[in-house]
Amino acid sequence: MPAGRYPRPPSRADGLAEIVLPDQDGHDVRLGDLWTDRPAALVWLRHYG
Amino acid sequence: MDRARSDFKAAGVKLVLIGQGTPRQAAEFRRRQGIQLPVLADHDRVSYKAAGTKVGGVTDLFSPQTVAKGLLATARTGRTQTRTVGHPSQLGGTLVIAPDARVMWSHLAQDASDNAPPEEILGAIREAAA
Repeated sequence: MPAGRYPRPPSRADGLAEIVLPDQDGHDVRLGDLWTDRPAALVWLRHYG
Repeated sequence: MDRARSDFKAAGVKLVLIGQGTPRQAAEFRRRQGIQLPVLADHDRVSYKAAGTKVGGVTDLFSPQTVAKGLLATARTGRTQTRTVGHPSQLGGTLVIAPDARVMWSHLAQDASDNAPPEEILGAIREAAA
């Protein structure tokens, strides 16, 4: 992620689908499972603040 | 964003927040902000990279426009920014993803003040569904 790079969204989320992140309780969530049966809006926060 | 969660639910869209840090920091963020939405913890910013988000430069973080927008947001919401957790120059964004993995709508921040309001995201979702 070079500084100053113009942001470019992907046209498909295949590269996100296999990423697994813990939720606030420490339970693993596979991102691809979020949009299996309905659309999902994923919001990346700048920071927790 | 959390206040619009019922609107997203009514639109048939799952809304999830992702932040930099640990699950413990995500839980503390939820508690402090009174958020009920799920918050995922991406300490290594792997999903930020895959989503195409930007790591800002100095002008993306501290321009007069960015500072002014931040002050207006504080006045509007009554919330002030607390200590930064994670990479201080990391910017955010939003992707709306369809069940076939197609990105239906996107907004990636150009600077620290560039956040898509929930009503704009909802409008795009309703337009795509029409």
